[in-house]
Amino acid sequence: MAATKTGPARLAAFTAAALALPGMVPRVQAEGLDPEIDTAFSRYEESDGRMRVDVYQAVAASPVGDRWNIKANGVKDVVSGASPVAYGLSRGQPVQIRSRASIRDVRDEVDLGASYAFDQGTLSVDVGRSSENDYTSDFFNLDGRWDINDKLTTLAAGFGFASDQVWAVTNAGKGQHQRIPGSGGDKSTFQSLLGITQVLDKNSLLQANLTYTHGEGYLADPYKYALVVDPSPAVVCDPEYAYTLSCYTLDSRPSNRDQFNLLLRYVRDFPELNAAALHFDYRFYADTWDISAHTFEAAWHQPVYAGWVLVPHVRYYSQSAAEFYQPYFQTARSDGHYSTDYRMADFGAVGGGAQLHKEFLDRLRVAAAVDFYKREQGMGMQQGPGTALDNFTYSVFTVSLNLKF
Amino acid sequence: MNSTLPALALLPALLCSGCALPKVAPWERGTLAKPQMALDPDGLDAALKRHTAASKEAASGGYGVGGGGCGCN
Repeated sequence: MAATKTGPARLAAFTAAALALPGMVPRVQAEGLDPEIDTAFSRYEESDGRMRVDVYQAVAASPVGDRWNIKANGVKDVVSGASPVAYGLSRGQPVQIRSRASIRDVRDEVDLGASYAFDQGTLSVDVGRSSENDYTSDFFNLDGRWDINDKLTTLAAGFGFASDQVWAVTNAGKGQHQRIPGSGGDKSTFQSLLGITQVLDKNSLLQANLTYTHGEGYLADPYKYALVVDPSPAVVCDPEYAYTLSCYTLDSRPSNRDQFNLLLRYVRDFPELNAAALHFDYRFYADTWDISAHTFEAAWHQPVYAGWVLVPHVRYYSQSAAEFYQPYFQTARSDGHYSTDYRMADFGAVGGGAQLHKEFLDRLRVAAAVDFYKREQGMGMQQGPGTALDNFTYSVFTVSLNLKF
Repeated sequence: MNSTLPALALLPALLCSGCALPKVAPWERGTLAKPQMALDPDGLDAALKRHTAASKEAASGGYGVGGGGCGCN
């Protein structure tokens, strides 16, 4: 399984980001930020019988005294389906090989956070654990926000550390899994953030974040294999029907990865359009695996009638391939790094959807949302290695409740 | 690594260089305090979207520091 380093429902960071908004900071101190509970259920489903995930989320947050705010966050993912494992060759053409539809996994994440509001900003800490039958992650985050310039400017600094363990399991039946000895490994991830949020005028603001992440250890995927048609002079693979195990090597990636992000976020209110709000985000990403990516997102928050708000959104994403990625390899690599993971390929993706929400009696907010995503080889801004066999779509349906006390 | 990164990193500075941003008095910040003006008006929804995208793409992060890795298929 791939080692993705962004966790779900990291509400500490997001809450801190919202609270860091100039004009929002006094909410903690002056209003006391009422105790509240957020719950959501989402169903994620991929095309062509691939993965399906039911996601249950719940967050409870409460002020303690004038300056403290605590929260507890829980997420459960129930995963089932099949996933690409490798590529074979059939009559010289690559074909996708998937796991049997036997993946059954449950991920549980719990994290606890606390924020302290001082006169010129907030300090937040968050600790948590995420566990699956083949992955555990223990993490710790610190986040600080400082208001300057009459609270028209907010500076942010953050640090995060995660210690993860990854391994592979086999399905032993009856919901039991057996760990494959020697598979996977440990990894550590260090994250840092510097950011600035600036009020541009009474209707708009801009945020810029720079983040740097360093990962080290086992950064590959213990379930994926790469086809190397000519792995060594001693082993000859028939390129017409290269299915013999000797043609395959385990997914292998460098043991270090440095990732950089520049994120720009713009929010503007349109008073003349019934207080509609435009959100526009642009993110540039680059890492030392030679992957670069651009992400464009826009959302429009439109109050429509009697407290109902409609929020359509669109997204475009483009990435270049990792330097050790190919759908399959014609020759052996001197560094021994191979990946045919579709997430390491060159591709583009478009997405979009809408959310409809309404607040009742200033206490209960209900929302329903739908989100679609389409991944296409060749839709990226850069043209690099990849295969249309990896094209897929997914949809996400969500209902959520927020209750303030 | 892409050589455009250093240039893009300078973008915020360029955007703000020479800017004479108007002062917005506290009593003029009512609009900025509205829920829809928060950077993430719906934290759970935003977190799920980013988590889902990050599990299918090579790029991740940028919005804040946060741990909790996953073995996303």
